[in-house]
Amino acid sequence: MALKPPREPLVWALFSGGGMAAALVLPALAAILWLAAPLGLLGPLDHEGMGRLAEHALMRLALGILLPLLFFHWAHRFRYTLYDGLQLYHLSRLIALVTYGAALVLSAGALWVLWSLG
Amino acid sequence: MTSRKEGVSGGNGETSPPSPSAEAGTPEGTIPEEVHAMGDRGEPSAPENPHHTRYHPKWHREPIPITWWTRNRRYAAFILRELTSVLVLYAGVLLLVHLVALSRGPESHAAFQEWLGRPGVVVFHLLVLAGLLYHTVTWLNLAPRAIVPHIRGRRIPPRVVLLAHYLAWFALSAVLLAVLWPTLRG
Repeated sequence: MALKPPREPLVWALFSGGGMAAALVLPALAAILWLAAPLGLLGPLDHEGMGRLAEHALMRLALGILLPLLFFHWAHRFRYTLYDGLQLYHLSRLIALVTYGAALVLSAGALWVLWSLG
Repeated sequence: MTSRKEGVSGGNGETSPPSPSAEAGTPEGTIPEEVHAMGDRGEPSAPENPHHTRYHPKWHREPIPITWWTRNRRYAAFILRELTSVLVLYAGVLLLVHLVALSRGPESHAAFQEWLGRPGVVVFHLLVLAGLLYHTVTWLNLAPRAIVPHIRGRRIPPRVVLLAHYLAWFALSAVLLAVLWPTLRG
C-alpha cells in the first residue's frame, strides 16, 4: 500500500545490506572512535591523521557506501517497527514518506560532505 | 450466519439497499440456497439472483493494545531488536558529524573530541555500544537462516555459515583497528 510493489525489493536490499554492514563495522567503530579514543585508552585522535584518512579516496568511497546503507537500514526497519509496535497501519503512507525521505536527505548530505572533503 | 438477501418475497426484480426492515421478509429458519457459508465470495451471481447484494460479514477481532510487546519477554526482545535500527541511524549521523568536524579544522575536531569525552556522553555511548552489539549478535545469528549456500549441490552446514560470519566480524574489526591505529597518539 505504502509503495508500489517494484520498489519493495530495492528498499529491502538496502535494509539487508545496511544491516550486515552495521553488524560488521559499527561495534568496532563505536568502541574505538567514541569510547577508547576520547577516554584516552588508545590515546586521543590525531586531527592530521584523521584528516588524511578521511580524504583518502578509498575511505571516502567506503563511507559513501556505508552511510547511505546505514540510513536506509534504519528507514526500512523503523518503518515496520512503527507499523507493528504502535499499530499505525492507517498512517503507512506518511510513515514511509518520512522514513525513506529522511534516509534520502541524510544520504545526500553524507555524499555532499564526502565529495567536498576531496 | 445472517443473510442480507433482501426482498425474497418481492420478486419484481428490483434490488433494494440493505435495511433492517427488508430482513423481515426472510422466512424464519430457512436459509436461501445461494448463501455461502463464507459470505460473499465475489461471484457475480446477479444473473441467477436479481436480489443479490454484495455483503461481507465483519470478523470480530479482539483489539490489541499498543503495549502488546510488554506482555512477553520474547515480544520485548523482538521490539528491542527492531529498535536497534535507531542506534544504527545514530551511528551514521555521528560518523557524519565527525566528518564535518574534521572538514572544519583542528579546533572543531578538538571540540568534538572534548564533547565525546564528557562523562554523560561516555555513559550514553556505552549504552549505544551495547545496543550495537545486540544488533550484531542478533543479525549474525539469523544469517544461517537467511543464507543457504550450496557447493556442488551440497548444502553448507548452518554452523559453518554462522562461523564464517563471526570470523568476518572479528577480521573486519581488526582491520578497522589497524587502519585507525596510526591516528591514535598514545
